[in-house]
Amino acid sequence: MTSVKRILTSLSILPALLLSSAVQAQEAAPESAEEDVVGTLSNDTVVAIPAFATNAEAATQTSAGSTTALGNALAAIVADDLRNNGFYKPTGPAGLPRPALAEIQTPAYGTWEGRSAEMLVQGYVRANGDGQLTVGCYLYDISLKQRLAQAGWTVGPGEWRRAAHKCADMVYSRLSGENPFFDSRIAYIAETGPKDRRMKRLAIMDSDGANHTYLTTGQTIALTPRYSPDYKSILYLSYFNGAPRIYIIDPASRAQRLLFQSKNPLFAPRWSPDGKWVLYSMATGGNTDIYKIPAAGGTPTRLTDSPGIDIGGSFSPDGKRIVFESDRSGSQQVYVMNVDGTGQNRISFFGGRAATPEWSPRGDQIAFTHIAGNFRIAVMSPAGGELRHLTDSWQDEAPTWAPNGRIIQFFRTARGSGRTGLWQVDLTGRNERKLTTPVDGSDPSWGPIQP
Amino acid sequence: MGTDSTLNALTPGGADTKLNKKEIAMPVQTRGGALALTLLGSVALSACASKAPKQLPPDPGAAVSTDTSGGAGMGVATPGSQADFVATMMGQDTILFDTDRYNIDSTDQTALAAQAAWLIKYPAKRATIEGHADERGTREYNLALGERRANSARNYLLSLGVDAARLGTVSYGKERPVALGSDEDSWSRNRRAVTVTID
Amino acid sequence: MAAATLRNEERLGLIVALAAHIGLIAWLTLWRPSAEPLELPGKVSVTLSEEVAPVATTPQPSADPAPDAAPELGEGPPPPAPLAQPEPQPAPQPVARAVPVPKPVTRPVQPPPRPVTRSVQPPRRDAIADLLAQRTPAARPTGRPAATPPPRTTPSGRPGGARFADAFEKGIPGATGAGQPNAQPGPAQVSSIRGSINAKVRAPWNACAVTGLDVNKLRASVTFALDKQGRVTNVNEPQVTGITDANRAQASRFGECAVKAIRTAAPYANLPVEFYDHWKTYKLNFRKE
Repeated sequence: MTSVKRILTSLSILPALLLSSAVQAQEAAPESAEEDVVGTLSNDTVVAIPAFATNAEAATQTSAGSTTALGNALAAIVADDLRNNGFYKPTGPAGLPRPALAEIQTPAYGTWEGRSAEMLVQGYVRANGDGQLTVGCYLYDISLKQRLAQAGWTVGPGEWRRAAHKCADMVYSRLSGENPFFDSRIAYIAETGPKDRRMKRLAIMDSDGANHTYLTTGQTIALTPRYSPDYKSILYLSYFNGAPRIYIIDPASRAQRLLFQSKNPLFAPRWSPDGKWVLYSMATGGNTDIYKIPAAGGTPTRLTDSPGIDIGGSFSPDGKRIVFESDRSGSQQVYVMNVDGTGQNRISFFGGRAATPEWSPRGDQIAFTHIAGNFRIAVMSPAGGELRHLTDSWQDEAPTWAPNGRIIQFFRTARGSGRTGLWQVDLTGRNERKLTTPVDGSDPSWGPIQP
Repeated sequence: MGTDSTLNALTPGGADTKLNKKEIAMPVQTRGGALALTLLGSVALSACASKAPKQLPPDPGAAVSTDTSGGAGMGVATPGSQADFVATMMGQDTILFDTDRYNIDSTDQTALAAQAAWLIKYPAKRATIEGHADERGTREYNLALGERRANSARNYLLSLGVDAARLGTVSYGKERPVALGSDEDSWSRNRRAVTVTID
Repeated sequence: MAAATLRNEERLGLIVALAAHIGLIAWLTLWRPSAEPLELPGKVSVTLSEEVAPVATTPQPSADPAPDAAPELGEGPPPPAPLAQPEPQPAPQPVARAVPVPKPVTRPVQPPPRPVTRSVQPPRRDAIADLLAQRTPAARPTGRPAATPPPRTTPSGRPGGARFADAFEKGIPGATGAGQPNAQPGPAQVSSIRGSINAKVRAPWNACAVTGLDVNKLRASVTFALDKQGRVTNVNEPQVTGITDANRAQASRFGECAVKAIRTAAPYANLPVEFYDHWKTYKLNFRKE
């Protein structure tokens, strides 16, 4: 029993040991004054956006009217862009004092302090003699009294809204660290009519819903459009002549041509990031596989040949790999392969099914539809881990990425009525919102940043 | 601080052109379906009438088939037409599938046997087999699944002796449901392959 | 169900097993260990403390306190002795300041023998004992090194023994070794300095929003220099850590917001000048949760 006694005696001097060790630990502590500051994550940036100033009141050929009205409209678009993005609380242009042209580059900070705004966006618009407009945009930090960013653009009268989107992009990029995305366009399918006989038309619009145009009449079913990276073409599926085939349409001239002549049905067209290649899926004898063909036409290359449905496909931004969907394992799952079709590996092991994968333009995530009961938009790493769900509704599907890889657009189907709408959500899961479209919408495709 | 930074020139956008009407009228299948529905409806209504109307309504079948003799009466389809096919099949022109499945079960076999019999009886007729899926799937996958189902039915008909050149397939995915609810009963009726003969 | 009759071997085995079981149970029940019961050591009460300063932070008691001489009875009141001023003493400070003012080192209210015995004890124990003495009064946010009441002004004019305590309070000439207040702030002062800086910085830090995935993993460490009025004279480059692929785009803005918070919150006007050496260079570690 002496060993037990030994243990117990040593236990009794433990408190003394602890005390002296505490003292010794303190002697090793840092000498300089230091402390932690813990803040909260969920704050929005308050931005004051007064109307843009002008050098002279002049008529313009824009839909907004004179330069003064245009200055108001430009500021309003910047404010709407930032507000819809979430994370920002823009004020103005209504209700804010209107700065004079001289203040645009040297703001009167006294006017803006004490209004609870962190940031100030000021700009000007000038009508050049030739009908073009020059727009300048400046971002200021009110509390530090310093300019953070500035830029300017010359635009034609038909594109004046793009100048406002460029200004919103400048502010957004500077304050968030992300790449811009407001100056971009969306192609989608506009839907009307009863559930068993929906009329589906190809349509395009700006990222904020403006400049909306229909490209087909709806007499034949149009599905799954894809904007080309240079915005000069749109790939889409049409049931022209009762046979589903892939067509390329020029949105400016409305001219269409068949992507590839075949007696088999073709679905699921996709562009490569450089716009030189097109992926499509073709069904032969009930078996669907993915093919690659030069965008200008030529000989297709077969990429998959499993006895199942291999469909879709999305290139990684470096153009080296393709993520696609296959049910070769018995249910729809997500696979990755090299661009030549080799090295096909499954990456989705989440339970349920995984469909419609899309590689982020940033390369760091793959968005997809996770089907486990409900249809939910989710993201995962390209290796297949770090699953995060972004939505939780009855049926959300077909994600498409904003050009900066931060926001995902998808369409939501209502249970029962089957009516559809375009929705967006931020990568953090915040700011889920419905886009305003003239009628119902589905199959969105977000184009890249316009140069 | 002084002057503007570098300006980027943006090229002006092109003017909108008028849309050219390029697409043709509705596909064949919808016309045949509407006709079949009209004829079936008129047959049903005629059975319900309790007294003869003062004036006979015009013959709804006169406008469609040039073979139909005028005054042949309502509800009698021309033998060998799509209307006749639908009437003869009495629902067996459609076969159903389980979720994500595309196999031909015994009920399907019976229906397809009936279809094959009719097709063999009228050897000049071609047909399209439409494959459909329920709304509880993603759009592109459902297009491929519908194609798989149509192809399954087609293969079975071929095995019963129908000539391959006569049968075509088309998939509508989830675009053309017949049942409009969002419940298992509606979905089970939408997971189908429908054989439509071409007049 | 009919049970099979036991064979002889089985019967024997059963009996042996039963006997062994009974024997074991009996032995365990009846056997007593012969060893003496264990002795537990007596209880020692210990206070564990984290706030042990490596250096003494209390004003040092004077080495030679004043002689313990009471004023002679019957005489008039001795002239009030000047307060032994400790150096350096700030210009008259209002009592309301959150910063403790070092007290005159001679503490007549304490029993005289104590300063003597205290000075002969080893330095480490000195610090601990000071700490233990401090802990109760230091519970107040405006900590004072010792909870001595401020010098009372006494009414003058009363002769004799009633003025005994007054005389000790005011101090008696003869004390040597005027005490020095420490240049190091004690834990109580440090926490009040921290609270003051934190309160000013947190609002602009919150207002500078940074959003994205994994922003809660970012950390920004910023070292900056202050002058005696609390104005920022220099801010070093922020050190941002915790960068992942998902938050890389936000790292630069995160550091920028930290620097902005420090600059916006300036000047830090409420810091104790007597501890300027402690806070003239300060480091803040920022995060958002």
